[in-house]
Order: sequence, then C-alpha cells, then structure tokens
Amino acid sequence: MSTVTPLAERPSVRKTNENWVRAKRMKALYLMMLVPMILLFTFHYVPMYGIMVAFKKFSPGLGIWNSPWNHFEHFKGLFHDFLFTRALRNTLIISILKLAISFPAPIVLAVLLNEIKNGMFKRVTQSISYLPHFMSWVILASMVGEVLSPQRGVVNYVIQLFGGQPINFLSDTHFFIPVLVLTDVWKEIGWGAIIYLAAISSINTDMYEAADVDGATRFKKMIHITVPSLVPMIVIMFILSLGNILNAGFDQILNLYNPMVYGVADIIDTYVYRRGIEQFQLDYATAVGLFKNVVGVALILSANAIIRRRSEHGIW
Amino acid sequence: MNKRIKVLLPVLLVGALSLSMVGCSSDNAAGNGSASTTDGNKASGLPAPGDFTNNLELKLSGSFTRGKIEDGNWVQKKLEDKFNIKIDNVKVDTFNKDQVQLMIASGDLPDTFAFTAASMTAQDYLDNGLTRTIPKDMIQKYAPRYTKMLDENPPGWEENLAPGTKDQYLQLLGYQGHTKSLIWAPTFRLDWLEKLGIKPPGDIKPVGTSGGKERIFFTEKAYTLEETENILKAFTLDDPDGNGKNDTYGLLPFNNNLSNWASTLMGAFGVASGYNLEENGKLTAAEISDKYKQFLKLMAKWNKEGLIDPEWTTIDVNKSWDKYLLGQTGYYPAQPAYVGMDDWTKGRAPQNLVVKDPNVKLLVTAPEIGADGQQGEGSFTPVNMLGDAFYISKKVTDEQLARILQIFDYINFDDDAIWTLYGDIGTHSNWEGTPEQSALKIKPEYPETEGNMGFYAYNFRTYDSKRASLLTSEDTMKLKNDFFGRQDVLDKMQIKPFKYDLMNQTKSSELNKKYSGQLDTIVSEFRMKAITGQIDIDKEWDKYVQSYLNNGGKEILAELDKAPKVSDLLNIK
Repeated sequence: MSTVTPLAERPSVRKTNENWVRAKRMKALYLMMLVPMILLFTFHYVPMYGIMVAFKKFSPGLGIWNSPWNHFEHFKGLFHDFLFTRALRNTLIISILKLAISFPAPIVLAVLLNEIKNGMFKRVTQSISYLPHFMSWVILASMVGEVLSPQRGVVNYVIQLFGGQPINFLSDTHFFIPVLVLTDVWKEIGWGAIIYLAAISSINTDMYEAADVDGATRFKKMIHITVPSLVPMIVIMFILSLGNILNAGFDQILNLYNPMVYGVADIIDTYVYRRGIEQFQLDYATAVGLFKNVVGVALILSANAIIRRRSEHGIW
Repeated sequence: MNKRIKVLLPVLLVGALSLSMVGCSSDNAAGNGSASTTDGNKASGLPAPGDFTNNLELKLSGSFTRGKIEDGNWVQKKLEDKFNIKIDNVKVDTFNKDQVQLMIASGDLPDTFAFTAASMTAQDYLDNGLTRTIPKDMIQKYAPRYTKMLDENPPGWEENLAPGTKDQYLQLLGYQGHTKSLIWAPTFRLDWLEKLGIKPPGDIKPVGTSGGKERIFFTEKAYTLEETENILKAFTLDDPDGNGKNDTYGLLPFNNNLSNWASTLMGAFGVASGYNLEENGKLTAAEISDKYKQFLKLMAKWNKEGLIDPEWTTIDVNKSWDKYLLGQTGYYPAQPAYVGMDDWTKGRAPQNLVVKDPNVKLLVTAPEIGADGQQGEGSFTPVNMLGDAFYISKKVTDEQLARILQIFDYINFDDDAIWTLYGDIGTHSNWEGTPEQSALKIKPEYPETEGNMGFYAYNFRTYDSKRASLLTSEDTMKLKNDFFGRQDVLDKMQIKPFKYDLMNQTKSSELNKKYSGQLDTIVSEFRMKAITGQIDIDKEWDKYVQSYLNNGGKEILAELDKAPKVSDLLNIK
C-alpha cells in the first residue's frame, strides 16, 4: 500500500515555507530594499523604452511610439559615416590607454600608501590624492589649460628653461591623448585607491607576522602578500572597468578638446552630443549610443567568461 | 511556486514596461503631428479685433526668455489686464541649447516661442508636428502693424509660406533694423600705433566724450591688407607696450565664430562665412571657394610669422574677451555698439580693456582693403531686413491665435508698448542722453530683463528704426549714421549670398540640417589645421573640397542652385 506524504511535509513545499518564514522575519529589510529597487526600475529600466528612437524616424510631435520606423537606416549608415568610425576608433584607443594606465595606477598608489608608516603623512597624502575627484571637469579643464598654456603654463616654462620651444599641448594631436590619460590618472588615482586600501586593511596580519618570522623584507611582503591578496578585488574592478571601456571620458574631453584635435579626440559620446543635442538628430545619435552600449555589454560578458574559465574569480 | 515566480517576474516586468510606454506615449499619440495647415478663411468666425470677452490662458515665451521670469511680474499683470488673459510663464533658458533641444524633443512647447538656441528650421517644426501655420487673413485682421511691415518689405508676404499654400505661414518674422549696418570693424591699439610711429589711415575723431569713449577714435578710411600685416608685425615684434618682453601679438582669433573674428579679413578677399558665391561661373560654398583658400593662406602665413596669439586654438569668443583684457593684443574685431559702449556689450573686447586701463587708446577703421580693392563683410541678413522666427505651437486654437496675434502686434510693433521693454520712462528707466534720441536704460534697482518686472519677457527680436534706437547709445547711432549704416557704404561693402532660398522653394534647408554636422566638422578642422600650419593648404585643398562635396556639400549646392539669385530677390517691388 502506497503512503501519501502530506503536502506540508513534501521537501519542496517545506523549503518554500521556510523561505517564506525567513522572508517574513526580514520584512523590514525587504521593505528597505524596495525603495532602491523602485528607483532602479524607474530610472534605469523604464527609460530604456527610449532606445526605440534609434529605430525610428523620430518626430517630437508624434512622440517615440508614433514616429515611423526607419528600417534600420541609421545602423546601415553608421559605418559609412567617417565621423562615426573615427569616433569609434578614438574611443577604443583612449579607453584602452586609460585602462592600461589609469587602472593599475590606484593599485600602485594603494600599495605604496600602505607602506607609509607615518600615519599623519599617510592621511594627508591620501586626502590630497583624492581631492581632484571631487572637482568637475569644467574646473579641472581650466586648471589644465593654465598649467599647459604655451604662454603662462609652468610646463612650457620648464621646457623653455631648457631651451625648448613652447608646445600647445591641447591643440597638438600628438600630445592630446597623453594629456587626457595623465589628467585622468591625476583626477581619479586617489579615489580609486580607497577601495584597494580597504581590501588591504582586511588582509590577515598573521601572514605578515609569519613573513617577519621568515625574515621577509617589506618589499617581499608587498609582492608576495599584499598584491596577491588584492587579486580578487583587482579582477572584479577590472571586469567592471571593461563594462565602461567605451566610456572614454565625455566630460573630460568635451571640456578639453577643440576642432584641432577632433581627429584623435572626438569620441562616441562627444559625437553623440554634437549630433543629438547640438544638431538635433536625436534618432541617429541614439543609434550611435545604442551601438556603443551593445559593444560595452558584449565586452563585459566576454571578459567575465574568459576570467571564469581561467580562474575562480568573476562577477557571476 | 519557484517556477511560477520565474515565469511571472518577466511577465510583470514586460507588463510594467508596456504600461510605461503607453503612459509616455499617450499624450503624443493624441497630438497627431502631421504637417497640418489651418484651412482658408478662419478669421470670419472669430471675435473682432479688440474683443477680449473670453478669458484665455496662454503659455508665452519670446526671444529673450532666459527662465528668470517671476510669476505675477509687472508686465505680466498689465498684459493680463489689457488682453484678458492668464499668462503661464516659461522658466527655461531659451539661449541654452541643451535646455531648448530637450524641450523640443519632449514636444511640450510654449504657445509662442522664438528660441535663440534651437537648430530646427520653420519647416522642421511644422513637419514634426510642433507648430501650426498662421493664416494670412488672421494676420491681416489681428496684426495690422505687422501686416504693414510685410507690405513695406517685399517679398515679405511670399516668405515662409507653408509648402503648397499661398496663405498659410510657417512663422512670424521680425524686422532686423538693429542690424542695418556693417556689423564688424577692425580695431587697433592706437596707443601702440602712436608709440610705433604708425599713422592712422585718415582723419580720426573720438567716438564719444566720456566713459573711455574719448579714447576710442574712428576713421572711415581703412588700411590695406598689406599695411595691416606690417602693423601686426610691429605689434608683435617691436615691443609696443614697452615692457621689454616679447609678449605681445597682432591678432587674437578664437576657435569658434569665424564670422566674428574674420569677417572683415575674409571680406578683403570678397567672401563671407556661411554664404555661397559665384566663382568661375559656378555656384560654390564660401568654405570651398578659391577666395577662402587665399584667406586661409594669408592667415597661415601670419601664424607662421608669429603674428597670431598661439592660444587661439583653445579659446572661444568669451575666453578671448578675457584674454584681450591682459593687454597683449593689438588688433581685435568689434561691432559699432562695442566701441559705442552700449549697455549690452559690457565686458566684451575691446571696450573692456579701455574701461580697465586709462592709458589704452583704440582706433576703429573701415574694413581692410584687399589686393584687388575688395572691402567689406557678410551682411547680417542674407536678403532683405526680415528675419528671425516667432512660432505658434501646434496646440494653439484659432481663438488663442487671434489673441496672440493682437498681443504680438501690440508689444512688438506699437510705439505705445515700449513699457513692455523698459517700463514707464522716468519711473523704471531713463534716457541715457538726449530724450528720444539716445538709448533707454533701466534703472539699477530693476532687473534689465524678466525677474519681477518682466521686461523683454514676452517680446520678439524685431526692431524698427525707433526700437533699434532705444537700445543704441547716441555715440553708436552716430557711428552708424556717419559710416557703418550709411546706404552707400552698405551698397559697397555688404557681401550677400549669390543665391538664397528665401521662399522655401527648394530642399536646401532640409539637406543643410542633414549634413551640417559633418560639414561643420570638416570645415572647422581644415581651417584650424590650415592656419596653424599642420597641413599644407595647397597640397590638401583638393582632398578637402572633395571631402566637403562627398559629405553632402554637393547635394546642398545642387539644390541651392535651384533657388533665386539674391540680386533678383532684392529687385522685387
């Protein structure tokens, strides 16, 4: 004779009940989470409706929904537009350079800061290093302009002291990209270092004590304990950075560039701004922006997959 | 349960998204944006002019709206009483491109608007379902002063007609009386010229008698380009400020607004920025003409010789005003109003330096003379004096339009309505000099525009000679009367386009919109690289012209070729 397990005693039902009980117990936390979820949904998912503009012949009077479809006209034309292909190339070049230089810079700073023994000096250095992060590029661009001015700038003053000719850094295609990368490092290095400093502070001090017993030097401890302990954090930050690879720095470039350097500095975002806002070609600009985002998502997915295959780290 | 949640969650998400879509689009769907025109004789069933029985609510903005208007302001109350309306103020800076373009994209526009910063044409607005047309009979019935202005400025009634109609207008026009003169003039540091022993090209006389204007001198003669070049060299190399340092420059251009800094210099080659011209029997754009190429070569030569401030590539016009204030520049272009120090020009070069430094003296001359005797600059308006655009929103009903036209006609064309700009004379403003012959100045205790008084808040940028004089100082007016606005000077020196689609007969404006982004980038990059010597103009020229033509220039020119000649348009009586 077969016995029938009561519904409430079936494992799946029991688990559901347990989950429900647990959820009820934490209802205050779920309630708190609701607010950011609503915000996230409202401001990050609902506006996605706007990407339809890329597929429409957008007319403000008709609105997004009623504007006629453009039959992928913009996407077909994208690669025939030399300004777009140039912007894409510039975006990739600037982003990769920033990734290669700006990404490791905070790690180096964090490791070096960790080695400073004088607490006051360490705090002051750290504060000074992350101050530029709080200033907008409008202000920083003016400062950069003054520092690099061919007439009044300190850099050109030094160049002239050594018998060189003043260089107009912001109008020279050879110098503009290095200026972009270096000023980006200057602005973000201190802020970026904070997360690594936090990770360093959570490293088990027993390891350092054991290394001391083994007679390891400070440099050896840094190389063999601090840096390896940071690897999971570095990997996560790297994958997150890849998602932003096509964000080459709109604010920075818009405030620093001029037509002389469009050839190397006009990125997708500045191009979208000019086409969309200044020339009111919103549908085309949206298509360009959408293309950028699709490439960004593809990059982050593939980077995560590659890293997962080679190590146990990764975001998901 | 888990499965059910997994299925339900995406469904809910999609549902919510769909709802939001419907929510976002319902308003727009209701407002069918097809290019509509109002039929025939609409004026017949509407109230008589002056009949304001029904109270109407109107959302008004004008050419000067900067979003600083306060509700219940002085002008608003008076207009509301006079026309029995309730005004809904627009609190957007219509000079800010970002704000304006986003407002247009939303489709939620004021009932009347004349955005300074927008880039759409009248046809674009109509095609996008944002504006309505204005019937001729309503204009004639409700805007008699405006009607008279169009009558007096042919082919006024033929301009801005909606395609396929003869009595429906895309917009209302303004009379640009304030631009009836040469706009730009070269200015030189006269104190430097004196120190260097260089004589002015003719008799000079001071622009004014006080406030620094006694140190600004004018001559209606001009230097030749060759003489200008020698002066710029002396300004750069001969230490004109006597400080023993090599820190002065001849010329201070900026990286935008070519039509400002190079207007008279290009004029010496017979070409005006943004206009087309006939060259070798063919229609061509200024920026790919041989004349423009010669202009670029001269600028490149000056740059190579160090006569141009090397920072010009990184500064725009506003920053150039600040830079001029350092006192290291010898030559700078200025409008007559700048040297006449009209109120609205405060802080602009070159008058900012005159105000700051009592030792500075300026010389204003006529535009430079080119190698073949060519002298002049592009005219502000391409054909006649009619220009700018005042639009009526698609949402406006005929009854509202009738009221709007009467308000528009009164505040912009009736001498009695000066109070909308300057308040009550004596109470809110005073004459700067001789009453009725000088500029009106708002008293310092009141905001010059908008705010709690509402001056200029609802007006359109239209100035007949009387209104133009209200914002022009006596000294500026004298400069214009003596030279810059004299008809024989204008006939000789104003450069107008060869062809112009004044009556919307071609698709050139549509093509311009489509290609202007690419073309502007091509032109500005080439110009700056050419002047700074990064490229060899002769070697790269053909490639540049080809690139211009291939990226839409050819289509635009072919379309523009169908437009009438400006000389023919000017002969229409």
